[in-house]
Amino acid sequence: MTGKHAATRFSTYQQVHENRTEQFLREGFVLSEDLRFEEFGAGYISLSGTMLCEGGIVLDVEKLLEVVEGHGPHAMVQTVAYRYQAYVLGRGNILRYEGPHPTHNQFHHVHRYNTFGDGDDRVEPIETEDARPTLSEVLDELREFYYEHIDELNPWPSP
Amino acid sequence: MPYSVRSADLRSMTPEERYEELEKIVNGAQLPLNGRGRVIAAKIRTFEQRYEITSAQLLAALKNGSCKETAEISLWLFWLDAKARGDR
Repeated sequence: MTGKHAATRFSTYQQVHENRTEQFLREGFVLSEDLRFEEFGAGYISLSGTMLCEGGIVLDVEKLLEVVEGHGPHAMVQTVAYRYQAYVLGRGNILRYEGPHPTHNQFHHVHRYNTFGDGDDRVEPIETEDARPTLSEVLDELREFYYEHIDELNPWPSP
Repeated sequence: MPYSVRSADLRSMTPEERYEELEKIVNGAQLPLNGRGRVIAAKIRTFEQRYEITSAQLLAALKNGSCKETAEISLWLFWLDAKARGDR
């Protein structure tokens, strides 16, 4: 696999992840996060946790990285499973990006929810690797959602 | 207990400290699932008990459309996928 989801050194993956997370924290869209890298075992590393964003937006992250080659921080890793679930506290779901399931939606896809309406969702297949977002691209999308819905997300302006 | 490190902690470390932490994570990742496997199995069992169906029944229900994939069920599916990968 080539492109943005190609195998990369774990140290590079972590550095890019930290740089992007720090940018979101510094600009103030991400308010806090508790993501952890964990030795999953059986050749996998997990990255999981929650990112609390402006407007009561929450992003739950579950990722599995496979160690495909090498040892130590420079081992090559590749994302093999992911779940990015975003919702507004007390309101409803926004979206969920995830990989193929075994018996239904057997392709990369995103659930997009009618957050401020009936809460129903529609499933959209993700046709190309490039269209499959990275974690920071999901945060970019949620920031856009925040600005598009800022009045609904912050209905009670400060006095 | 599987070794883990907070992303935020990594950001505040020196390059040498960060190197050591990443090394521990990668080296631990090469080991068998062991305790982690039991944690995942327990997460799956919790879903099965909460919904009063087996994971196999869930997959069948999703396939025939009698069950909707909710946010919580998608997490159940994620752990099933993780367990399958760990068991290979």
